[in-house]
Amino acid sequence: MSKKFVVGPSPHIRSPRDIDYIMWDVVVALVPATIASLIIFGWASAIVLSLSLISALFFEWLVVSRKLSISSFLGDGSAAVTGLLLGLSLPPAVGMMSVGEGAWTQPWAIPILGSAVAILIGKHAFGGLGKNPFNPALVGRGFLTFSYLSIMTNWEAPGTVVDAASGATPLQGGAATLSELFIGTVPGSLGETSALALIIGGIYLLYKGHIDWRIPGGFLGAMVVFSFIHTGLAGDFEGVVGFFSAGLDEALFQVLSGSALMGAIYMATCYVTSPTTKKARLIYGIGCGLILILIRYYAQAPAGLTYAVLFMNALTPILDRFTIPRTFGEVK
Amino acid sequence: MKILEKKSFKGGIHPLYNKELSNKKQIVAMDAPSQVVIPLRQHIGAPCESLVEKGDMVKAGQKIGEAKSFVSAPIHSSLSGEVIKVTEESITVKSDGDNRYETVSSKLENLTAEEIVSVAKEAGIVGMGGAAFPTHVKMKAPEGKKIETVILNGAECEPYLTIDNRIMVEQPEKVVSGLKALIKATGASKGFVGIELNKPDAIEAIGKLIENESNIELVTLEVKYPQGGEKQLIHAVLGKEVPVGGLPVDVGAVVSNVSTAAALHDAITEGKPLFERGITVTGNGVENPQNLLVKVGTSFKDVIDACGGLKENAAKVIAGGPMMGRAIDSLEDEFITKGTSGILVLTEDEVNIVEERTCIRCARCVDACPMKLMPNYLSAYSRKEMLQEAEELHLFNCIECGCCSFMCPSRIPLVHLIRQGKAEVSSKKAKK
Repeated sequence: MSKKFVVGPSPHIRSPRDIDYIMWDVVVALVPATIASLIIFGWASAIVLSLSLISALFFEWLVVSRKLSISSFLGDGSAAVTGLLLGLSLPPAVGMMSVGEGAWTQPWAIPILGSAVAILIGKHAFGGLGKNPFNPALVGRGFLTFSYLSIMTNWEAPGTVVDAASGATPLQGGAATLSELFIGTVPGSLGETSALALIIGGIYLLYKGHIDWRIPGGFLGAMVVFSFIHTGLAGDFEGVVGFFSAGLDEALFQVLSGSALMGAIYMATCYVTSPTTKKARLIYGIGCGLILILIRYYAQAPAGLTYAVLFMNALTPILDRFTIPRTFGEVK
Repeated sequence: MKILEKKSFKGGIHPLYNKELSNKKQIVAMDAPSQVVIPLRQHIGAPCESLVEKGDMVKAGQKIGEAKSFVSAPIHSSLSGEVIKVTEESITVKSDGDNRYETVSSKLENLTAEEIVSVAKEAGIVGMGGAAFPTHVKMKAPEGKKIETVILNGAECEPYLTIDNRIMVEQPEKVVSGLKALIKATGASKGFVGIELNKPDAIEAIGKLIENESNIELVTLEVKYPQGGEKQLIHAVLGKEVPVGGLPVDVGAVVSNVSTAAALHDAITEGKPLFERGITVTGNGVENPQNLLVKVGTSFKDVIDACGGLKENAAKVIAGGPMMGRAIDSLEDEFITKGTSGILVLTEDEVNIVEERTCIRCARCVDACPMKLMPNYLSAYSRKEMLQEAEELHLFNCIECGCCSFMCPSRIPLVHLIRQGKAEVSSKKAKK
């Protein structure tokens, strides 16, 4: 008897890393930031993150799945990434039950509304994973910021384990030392205050090869360089050593505060909305960092990161087009 | 022996190699099968014309097919016995049990460059890495070009395959002697043997032999696929890029497989034509993985039987390695050619048929492409038949190594689409 075998085009082996593997690994990389937000902000964080994560998965399931099962609810992991990123970018005030009036101004509705906008409009209105031109989490975040400005910029720290000082964030002039910024015991968005936790996640993503250093490198590099330029223009220092010391302080402050690290490591590196050529990835990263820091210095917008990354998202196709690499053996 | 170098190229992938299934197993000569079916066409270029008719008696090593065009090589019977069938595709020889072949001994020192080339041609020596390009054609530089270096490819970067490793470990003197013949025949001044670092035994065996050779050098290479790709190997060894659309000779190089060099040695010293070769039979779907010396024309079924047969869960049989080999549908209709480097049998759970999903623009294919192409765009353009756009992105510079498809988390058959795009362009050009 002659047995018939499976045929098909080469290659006959594939990397085990499919979409699900990669997306859930990004969720793993967000675990340190999640834990940090739970430690720093307590219950408020738990409530917000659960709401945003579960509602994101629910809306994804609503659009994508046809059968009722846990695995189809969890999906390919991309909605979980969006939900978690969105939740981590919200202020702790959203987790409080007593601010605002009316059903849709109840803070607890905000994560759900954000996830709905992110998944339904940011992602599936364009055709779903891979087709969306803008980062869904940032679409959701942008929508919330513009619609609920007072809640979205309310940095009151609710009952916390660690006493994160209430009131203004460091970027708004609140006092904070560099080590506080590094650890994250300052007012700010749930998952964005702890630079340490974000960097741990970032190192994991780089180690696993899920992100390319060019995007966060260009992003943060541009911020550092412009911090020095700004310090130089301000002229508030003495001598060369003074310039470098003041510039370094300023650069570290800019990088460690607000959503810079979250944006550089997790938002700008979104596969779907960032360029595919190496050169374009670097330019894109630099563009994000530059726009963010220009907004911080010269515009009083509370959503600098959102503007910066969404704007560069729009440029992605053009960047790709003009940076096609020299192919092997090509003489230009 | 100290190993300092770890030369490589940019891009590429690190698949699981699975070489341990067979890399310590000595090459064993398989018993001659009762009959062989020898294909008249074993490589690109024109097929051979049969020199025998049904009913003729032939001897092992006897020329039975003649090359009619330039890019072609003659074929020889691998058994002695009766020709029982001649078709346009193949010649079938039934064994008479006596498979000795006549040897004519000669010495490399006594041969001129031209004589070496004609020995290679008469013996039907072709590249044994897979493409089976006739070696005598390679040995002559086209008008106006000069061959300066001969590079032996001992990278064996395809996962699972171990036959080149075994040839280097067990017959290093043949490999080095074949390299010397290639150097002499091409008039090159320098020879290199490139071996990946995961073959320490081969590095040691070859390294020892060339210690006192002034014009031969061992280059140790990073373990990476496709390190043995002709253009990647040249880049790693010489630091030169073969121009787009060009040949290795454009940078003064010729690349030959280590098994080919050993076969050339046999042709020169024994007068032995290429009618048998070493192959790796491996994979979790085969009972007893090993390295075998088999006659050209042996059916895959006979080879698999010689390895204890297939396991119950065998699901896919591949002629060659898993990255560039060809999946076959039945064992009875496939025969060993001069270019068959191995037979790999994958099991059911290794053959996951997965659904293709949307491209998520992760750029893993772009980063993996050793030719610095944009497989994401090339495949999409090929699929939409936007062939002009694909050609502008250097569609034809693709070496079809499959790194892009391997890496793709969306399971898009990138290299397959690119291959189809190339075929589409070629057929349109042919019609004009």
